[in-house]
This record gives sequence, structure tokens and C-alpha cells, in this order.
Amino acid sequence: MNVQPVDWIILAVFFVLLTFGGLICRRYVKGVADFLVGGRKMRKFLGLSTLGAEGLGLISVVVACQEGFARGFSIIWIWLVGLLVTAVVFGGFGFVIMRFRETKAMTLAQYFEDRYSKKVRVVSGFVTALSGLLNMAVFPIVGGLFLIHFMGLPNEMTLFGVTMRSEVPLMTVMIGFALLFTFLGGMVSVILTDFIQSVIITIAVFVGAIVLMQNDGIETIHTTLQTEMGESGYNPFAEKSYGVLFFIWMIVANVLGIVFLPTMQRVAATDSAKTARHMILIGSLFTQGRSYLLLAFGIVALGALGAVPPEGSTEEAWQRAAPAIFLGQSFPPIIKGLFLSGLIAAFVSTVDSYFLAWGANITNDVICPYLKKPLSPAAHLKLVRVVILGIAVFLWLFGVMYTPRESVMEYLLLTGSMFHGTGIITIGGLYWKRGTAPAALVAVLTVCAVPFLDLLFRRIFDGYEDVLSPAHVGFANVCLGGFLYVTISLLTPERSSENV
Amino acid sequence: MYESPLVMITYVFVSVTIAAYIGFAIVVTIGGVFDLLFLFRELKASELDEADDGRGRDG
Repeated sequence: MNVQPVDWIILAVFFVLLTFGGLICRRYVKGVADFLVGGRKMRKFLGLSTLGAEGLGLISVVVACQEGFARGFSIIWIWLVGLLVTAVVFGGFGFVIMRFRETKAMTLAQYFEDRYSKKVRVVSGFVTALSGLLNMAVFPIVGGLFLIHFMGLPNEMTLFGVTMRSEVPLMTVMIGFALLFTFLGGMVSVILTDFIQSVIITIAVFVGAIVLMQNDGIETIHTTLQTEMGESGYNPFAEKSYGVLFFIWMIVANVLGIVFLPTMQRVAATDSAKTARHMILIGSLFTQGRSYLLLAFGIVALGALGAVPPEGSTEEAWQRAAPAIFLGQSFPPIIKGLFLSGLIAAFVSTVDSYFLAWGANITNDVICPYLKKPLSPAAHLKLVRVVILGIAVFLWLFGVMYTPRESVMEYLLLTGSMFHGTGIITIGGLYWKRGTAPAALVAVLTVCAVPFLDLLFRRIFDGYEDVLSPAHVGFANVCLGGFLYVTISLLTPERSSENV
Repeated sequence: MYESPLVMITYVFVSVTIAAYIGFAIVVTIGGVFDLLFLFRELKASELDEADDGRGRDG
């Protein structure tokens, strides 16, 4: 095992600190609004901090390191264009954000009921929840495997006489902590844990980068990219890199991804629409540097361990494992404890905010519309907590049963694209008077079904991935959704909306 | 050996972005502490509104 007693002490201190913070938050939650949107008292710096923390989960660390290991720095140009689109379109002009805030809806589905119909609200709420749950379902298992490699734990361990995969107890503890913090203080707790996590992971990544740069400087990164990748380490359009179609799909996904529920919930939790716009603008401009450091970690790992997987491992599994193994072996004690705390904090802070977002989504948009009487605040909070508990159980079961085979990034992109239909109907609803409820329903369901079927086909049919890449499917799916929304809207005239 | 201006541009861009992030992280951390204190103060002073189900109130 790589972890020393001093690292365990750092980890324990960190968790005591976090739990203490969660307990403090409990005192401040009086009603549903406090629990779901922190009483709408979040100001700019705190919003930026929590937005950055939500955007950097343990899964993002795994994916960034893996992409650096597999394709060098070439993805930065795709991220850069995505960043410019986000910063200018959403942050600069307030596209979608300002109009969404002005609708006074807390969730997108609430807006859909006002703009389209109750059926669109329930269906889009269900689709958003399905997409979100399938997307986050791999977080515990993939994150757990990364931590096992980082800590140098054996693949199996025996606890209370039962032999199990090592990631199972790890997943249980991490999901348990995320659940605890969400239950304790809702959004107030999420804001606090996000802030603490943001500080810890930032220090951990910087200190880790300094340690690595002392041993393997920029020269090592350059030599590795030149010898292992050549042009594809820098140019996203080079052979063996991402390609033009992937690039276009990512830009479109970036635009439609603005309606990603946890992000929209933060937009709703700010004290004004202006704060929300600034938060998106500044956050998208400045948080890229952290991801570039993680890419560099992956490249240095490639230089140290090589691209050829050891016997018994696949290329995909090796790309995920190698950076974790390398970092675990390279960091000295104390730094390792700090980095480990940062990684677990990254998991907890992302998952607790997702728990809250999907819990509120399922409660408010799928269950509540069918209740005969409105719930009392206490009953409402109780229902949100029961739903969150159900989500946690689902995550744990999925993690125990699922074995990652496809690329993590491809899985995340495909499940993440299932909710892009809601992006299409949000933009259409806010900016086009002719958008109708039947068109919205068809677009949302179609855009959800295609990636779901694609993921199933990838598991069932051998050679399927050689014919259709996720970029083909994702891009075609968005085009199909947009086409159906416009065409059916024109064929089914309906009342215009007050929100347009 | 891949020789292209893109190589140098990549390293310069990555370095500048990382430096910008360091400054950003320091400012956001210090500002975040004050915002956190403000949040707790406001939540402590606020009265329970049972009709508020969490929807946005002001633009």
C-alpha cells in the first residue's frame, strides 16, 4: 500500500472538518427554499467556488488524466472553443441564463410546464433524471478504481469475513459521506462542502504539480508528447486524435449543456440574475487551468509508465489506471494524504450536489405534479430525502454490478447527451414563439432514446463501435432533435408563450 | 519529431491559463470566505416562509 499513517491522519482530519461543517449547516435550514437553493443568498465568489467544485469531481480528474495520457494536450483546443462559446454566449450576453431567471422557475421542468404543458414537465423531468442518474452511476465505480490504484490497494479485500472487490467498501464510504452531507444541510451543506473541497483540491493539485515538475519538468512532457504521439498530442484534428466531427459535437453539446441541472440549480441559488451571469462568465474563463494541470499529470504518467498495457489489462483500462498508479508512487507522504483528501472531497462535493439536483428534480417534477394536495414543507423535505436515499442505493447497486468496458469519456458524453433534448426545447421555448408541446415531447423523447439504444448496442453487438463512433451518434442525435422540434412545431400550431 | 508553431503556442497557452487560474483561485478563496459568512448571517436572520418552495423570486 502507498498510503502512510500520516496520510490517513490528514484524511481523518479532513473528514472531521467536513462533518463538523455539515452539522453546522443543519442549523441554518428552515424550509424547502433553504434546503434546495440555500435561501438564494449565494454571492459571486462563493458561486464561482461551488461552480468550480461541481465541475471538478473525482470522475473529471480520472477523465482529464486519461485524456492527457491518451491524447496529450490536443483536447485543450476543443475546450478553448467551448469556453469561448460559454463565456461569450452565456456569460457575456446572458443567453438562456437571463431569460431563464426571469421566468422565476427553479427547475427547467417547472419552466416547461409554464411554457408547454404539464406532460412536457413530467416527461422532461423523467428524462433529465434518467440521463443524470445513468451519467453519475459510473462515478463511484470509476472513482473507486482510481483511488485503489492511487493508494496501491489490492484488487480484493476481506472485511468481516467477506471477500469483496476493494472498490465496494470504498464506494460505500464515499456514497455514505455524500449522502450524509446532503441530508444534513441540503444546498447550504453543498455550498459549504463545495467551498472546502474547492480549496483542498486546488492546493492538492498545485502542490502535486510542483512536486512532479521538480522531478519531471516541461522538458519531460515535451519529450513524451514528441516520442509517443507526435502531432496528435497537440492537434485535435490530427490522425489518431479527436477529429472534426467530435469537435463540432462538443461545441453543440456545450451550448445545450447549459441546461445541465446542477448548473441551473446554482443559477437559481444565486442572489440575482446578474450574479448568475458573472458566475458563468468568470468561472468558464478561469477554471480551465486546473484541467490543464491534470492533463499534464496524465502525460507525465505516460512518459514514466508507457502506453503498452501490462498483461491482462486492456488499453482502455490501462489509460485509466496508469495515471493513478504513477501519482500514487510519485507523491511523497503528506502530499499524498492531501491529494487523497482532495480526490475524495472532489467525489463528495460533486455527488452531493447531484443528489440534491436529481432529488429535487424527481420530487418536484415527476412525483409532485401527480399528488392531489400540495405537500407541507416538512413532508416535502421528507420526500426529497427519501428520493435522495433511493438515488444513493441505485448508485451503489450500479457500482457493484457494472464493469466499465467502454471509454469513460464516451460513456459520460453519451449519457450526458440524453438530456440535450431539454436544451433544444429550452432554447426553442425561450426564443421562438412557435415551439409547441407535441414538438417538445417528441424532441425530448427522441434525443433521450438514441444514446440509450446506442450504449446498449455497443454492449451487445461486436464491431458496432467500428462503424459508429459516439461523435457520429451524438451529433446526428442533436440534429435529429432540432429538426423534429422545428418541423412538428410548424405542423402543430399552438398558443404562443408569455415567456417568449 | 513534430515541428510546428502549434507546439510553442500550446505551451504558452497552457502556461498562461494555469497562471491565470492560480490568481483566480486565490481571489475566489478569499472572497468565498466573506461570502460564506454573509450566507450564514443572512440565513440566520431570515424568517421561515412556508409558501416558498424554492422557485426564483427576483430577476
